[in-house]
Amino acid sequence: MSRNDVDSATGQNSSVNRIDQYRRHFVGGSIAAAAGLALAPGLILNSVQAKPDDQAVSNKNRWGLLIDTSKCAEGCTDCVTACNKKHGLNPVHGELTDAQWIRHVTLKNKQTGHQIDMPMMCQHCEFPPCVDVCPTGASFKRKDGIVLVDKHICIGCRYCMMACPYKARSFVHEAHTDQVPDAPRGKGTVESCTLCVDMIDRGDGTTACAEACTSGAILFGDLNDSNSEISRRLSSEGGRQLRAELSLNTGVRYQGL
Amino acid sequence: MKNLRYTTIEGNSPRFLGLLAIYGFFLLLGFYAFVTMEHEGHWITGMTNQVIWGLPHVFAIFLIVAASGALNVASIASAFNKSFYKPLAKLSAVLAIALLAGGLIVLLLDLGRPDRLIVAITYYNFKSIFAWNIILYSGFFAIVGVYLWTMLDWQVEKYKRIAGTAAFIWRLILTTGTGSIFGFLVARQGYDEAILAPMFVIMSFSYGLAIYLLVLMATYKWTGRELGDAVINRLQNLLGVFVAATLYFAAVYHLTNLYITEHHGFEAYILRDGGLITNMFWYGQIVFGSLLPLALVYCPRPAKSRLAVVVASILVILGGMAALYVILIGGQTYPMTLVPGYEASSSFSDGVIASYSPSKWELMLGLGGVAVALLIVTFGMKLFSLLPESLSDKVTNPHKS
Amino acid sequence: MNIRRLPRLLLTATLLLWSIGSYAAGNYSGPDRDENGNIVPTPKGEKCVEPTDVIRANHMKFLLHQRDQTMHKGIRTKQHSLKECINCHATPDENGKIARVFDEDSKHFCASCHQAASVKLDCFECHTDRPEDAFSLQKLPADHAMSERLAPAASRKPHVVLNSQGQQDEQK
Ligand code: HEC
Ligand code: HEC
Ligand code: HEC
Repeated sequence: MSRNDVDSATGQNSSVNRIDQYRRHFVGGSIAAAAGLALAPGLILNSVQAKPDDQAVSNKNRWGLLIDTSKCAEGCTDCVTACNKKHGLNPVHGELTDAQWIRHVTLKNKQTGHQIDMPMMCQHCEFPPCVDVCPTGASFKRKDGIVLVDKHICIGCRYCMMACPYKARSFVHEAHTDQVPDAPRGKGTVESCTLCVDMIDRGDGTTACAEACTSGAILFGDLNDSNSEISRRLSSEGGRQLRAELSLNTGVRYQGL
Repeated sequence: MKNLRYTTIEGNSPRFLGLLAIYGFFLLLGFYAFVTMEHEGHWITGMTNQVIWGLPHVFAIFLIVAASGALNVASIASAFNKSFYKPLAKLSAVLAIALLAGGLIVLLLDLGRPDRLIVAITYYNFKSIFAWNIILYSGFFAIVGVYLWTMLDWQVEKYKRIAGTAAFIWRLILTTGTGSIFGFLVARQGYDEAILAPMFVIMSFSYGLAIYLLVLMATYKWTGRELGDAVINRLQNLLGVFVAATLYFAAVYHLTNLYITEHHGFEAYILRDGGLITNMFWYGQIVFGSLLPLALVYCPRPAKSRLAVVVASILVILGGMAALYVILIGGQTYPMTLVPGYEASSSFSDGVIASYSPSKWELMLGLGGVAVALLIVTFGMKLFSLLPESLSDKVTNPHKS
Repeated sequence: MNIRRLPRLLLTATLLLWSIGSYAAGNYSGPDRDENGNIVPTPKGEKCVEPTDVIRANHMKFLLHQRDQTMHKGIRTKQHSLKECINCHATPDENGKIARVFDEDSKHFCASCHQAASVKLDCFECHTDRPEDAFSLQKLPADHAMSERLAPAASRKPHVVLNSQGQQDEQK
């Protein structure tokens, strides 16, 4: 890796950002205080073993996120910002056409007024409707449960966006020239949260959003590993799927709804 | 009935050339819109990440649905062996091919990556209804093409019945497939309904026939051929039946939804609070698109008044566009429920009605598709002898069919 | 074997035949070279990832294969990775500038032959044509880099400051 941990000079649009840099220190063992103590023990316990580069992913793992909405502060967008930075998602023509791989959603109970803040992203379903409807097979689910768009064969028909029950996908509405090396993206194709697949493949054991979340609301882990922090918390504390009635068995689970 | 003379249309009259010029103009507009959208990206159109399929899809799906319906006349002639319709069958097949081509071209040019047509053809996900539709569309061209051949070439005429029946079955599957594009979407409130597939079939009957009627009447008028009342009356009665059936399906669709509490919000949006969408529904789809045409077709009127039929057909077409607009845009602008009992809000239209305002580019692209379809029909009539020189009452002799 | 792969296989085979065909036809001249016959821009390493004639004739095949391996199986070996080609091949010229693929008459390594042979690629509509270290500015300490950005255009060092907006800093 020729990439270096010196801060980028390029301000907000920089690709190698502090988070990236921070990750390296973090994985390297310097558990900075800012990491959020809730996250740290889990990560150390299961420090995910790096997969050899030439080994294919397998269904031994199923990656997912557990989001504890009670820890989400009102109006906090740290995870959104981190995601946008890591993937070079810059504002272009306004919220409705710009990419939003994560968005901050506020829920208000119609009767009680109870308010919940939470991040929404691709829920990485086990039975993803986007994959079913895609005419070319560009929408696909990797063996380890990550739902991706193979942008090389995406024709931009947007049927997957019609099918997604979470509105988690964005269509690239304009040409881009400011991509970061790890997140190629261009006009006319559909994209969504990749669960930071490049970080997972490298064995970083976390995602940009989980890492950026200082309150520890987002936990990344292996749902297939019963010893992982995420599995243990799910079995002891429980966690809900959004739109569970659709039986999609999502890889992203929520607490505090 | 026996000795009908089929001829091509005159290919260099000022009227013919004028028509071509008009088509050419809209073709150029459509092409210009495509080039601009392709160069700039879709942000210049009205589409957003919330309203994903916009006006081009309204046009495209209308044309595709109508294509299948335009084949009706031929189907009645061949598959059901009604000799009265036989002189009308060839135009019906060509119109079907033309409309499908026009619709598909809009669909194709509105893709994010139209340059990847080769990918769309070589990669198939067989679980996708959309991929199935690609196969259905290609098959439609092939089958209707063969069918047309059996009608034009006396040497293969003996296969006409088989080809006609195959085309009939194929096109039922095709429209079912088109309807299922929406029927299979579990995500959105307005779409997850099995009734959408048969509803699309019946919609196709009426839109396709309306277009057929207009093309037939225009051709006979502009080429100075005689078109008898017998033909018009039959076709307009048929149109009336189809329009009524479409209305029935729309009623069932909305009544079913009204029965399901979960869908009340959606129905209130379409039927009462949706502003433009609501107006489109009541005025476009119901009043002007269905009731008025029914009145025009069935109410007694001065004999031989063709104007009523023309107006009725035009209204059915516009009403059909409105109906598809309501299904497509209305279905997408209505928000999804993320967590029941909670109202959502976000930077991305969660919990609110999204807005969609079509851009001129989308309109130009859609009209370009219509121009493609009409161009193919017009050229088809010039190249092949599609229509009898006369369809006067004497010739068609309705009582013998 | 997945039936979905069959068309892809056929396509790849056709592409291959086609590329071999046009290679045999010799309708491209090879990358830009200086007077000494060295490739410009100068690659960062000594050797390519494959013998020169192999990579010249087959790089598309390697890349397309790698693409599927990475996308679908998460295999991230470096040998045929597009990112690594760029890291090694897209280096600054003597003026410190990294050429961009979509420039007219581009001096970018991956554009040199393609433009001459009229091969159209869409890869760089999505993939960046600049090496990863162009993004991390290893030569400058952070605060220095920041002041570079704020300094008037004329006083900026021409080569190291690359903004990630993608506009290669012609004027800087
Ligand atoms: C020696 C000249 C040369 C250089 C340098 C070169 N290419 Fe190529 N490349 C070709 C030729 C010639 C073809 C055309 C193959 C064909 O279609 O016949 C080609 C085709 C390709 C294709 C396949 C295009 C397609 O869709 O069929 C890809 C991908 C590609 N090159 C990538 C690259 C990349 C990335 C680089 C820079 C690291 C590069 N090439 C540098 C000559 C070159
Ligand atoms: C470590 C640096 C390095 C990497 C990584 C690398 N190359 Fe090269 N490449 C070179 C060098 C050095 C040469 C010049 C060899 C020569 O002069 O014969 C070369 C030559 C080539 C040529 C032949 C040019 C000619 O003379 O026709 C092509 C094509 C090419 N590389 C493409 C690629 C592609 C595609 C990749 C990624 C899969 C890649 N290279 C990765 C260093 C590299
Ligand atoms: C529409 C956008 C898009 C286009 C166009 C595109 N790619 Fe990609 N490519 C991607 C994405 C997204 C990834 C996944 C990146 C990841 O997971 O790290 C990727 C990954 C790759 C990889 C594996 C990662 C690496 O750098 O080695 C290769 C190889 C690759 N693409 C080759 C190509 C080639 C060759 C072309 C041109 C023929 C191309 N791509 C065109 C979006 C695109």
